[in-house]
Amino acid sequence: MKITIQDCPPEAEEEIIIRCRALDESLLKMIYSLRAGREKLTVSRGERIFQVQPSDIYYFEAVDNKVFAYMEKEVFDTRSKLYELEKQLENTDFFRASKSTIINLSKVKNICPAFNGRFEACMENGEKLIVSRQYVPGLKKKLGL
Amino acid sequence: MCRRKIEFLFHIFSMITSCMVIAVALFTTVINPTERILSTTLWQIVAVAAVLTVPSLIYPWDRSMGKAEIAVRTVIHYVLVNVIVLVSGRMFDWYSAEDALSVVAMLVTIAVIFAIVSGISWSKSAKDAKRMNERLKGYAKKAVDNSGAPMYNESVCEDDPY
Repeated sequence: MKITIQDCPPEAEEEIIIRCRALDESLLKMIYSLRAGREKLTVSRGERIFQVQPSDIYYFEAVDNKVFAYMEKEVFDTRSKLYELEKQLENTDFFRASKSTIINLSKVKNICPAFNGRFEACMENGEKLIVSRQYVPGLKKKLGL
Repeated sequence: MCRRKIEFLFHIFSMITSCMVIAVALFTTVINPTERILSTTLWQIVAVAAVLTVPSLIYPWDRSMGKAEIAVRTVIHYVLVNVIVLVSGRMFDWYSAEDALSVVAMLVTIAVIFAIVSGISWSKSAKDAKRMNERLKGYAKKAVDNSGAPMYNESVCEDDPY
């Protein structure tokens, strides 16, 4: 597939044009991924509601039926369920790391082995999260292994 | 989840069985080269290896552990392995409990097999982690390239490596 990137004037709206013979599954996935990557997520803290870029979120964690979005230093509530976020962020940098977490791979500094075939993802903000054995194949796939 | 656990247990089981067969072969060669190993002994090895696989579930599956917890669980795991081997070894007459040298030989064998199995598992994970970290470097580079809003002139890139 040929990819062409063109400059556009600062005042013009950025635009992605897909020229294809037919909209196949891979193209639909790509379109979905582009849309998901640009969509902001609605999160809240107390009474206040915020819109955040998914790329700024380090990870999501489900605790006691609540899902929290962890940024570099701040934590927000989300109204979505973890499986909904997993679906929504399917073709982005996010991957399911355990029953209770979804991690942003672009915020992972490095990966270390842990016991029992599991791995530990060391995040850029210094936090360490477990990648359970069940979800290691998904991580490897994401990394092209 | 269940399938992964079974796969993991089967992997551990095959490593333990291999190590036990090697240990028995070594012992027989060194102590009594003319002795024949009965088929019942081989089945005993398989049965004990299966039981020895179960304590490896002592490590939590889905959460991180602190250093102290790792140490405590490893000690419990090691003690359980010793108890299983010594009790079943006594049952199957693999050693004589009255002979101190025989007991020491059993304990040393357990320690060596435990170290080998743990070492193999760890080195496999370390190798996997190394490969993932290499890929992760490329992944991070891609993320920086995408977020850095580069000033592209009209250009054509074919087959994006990522």
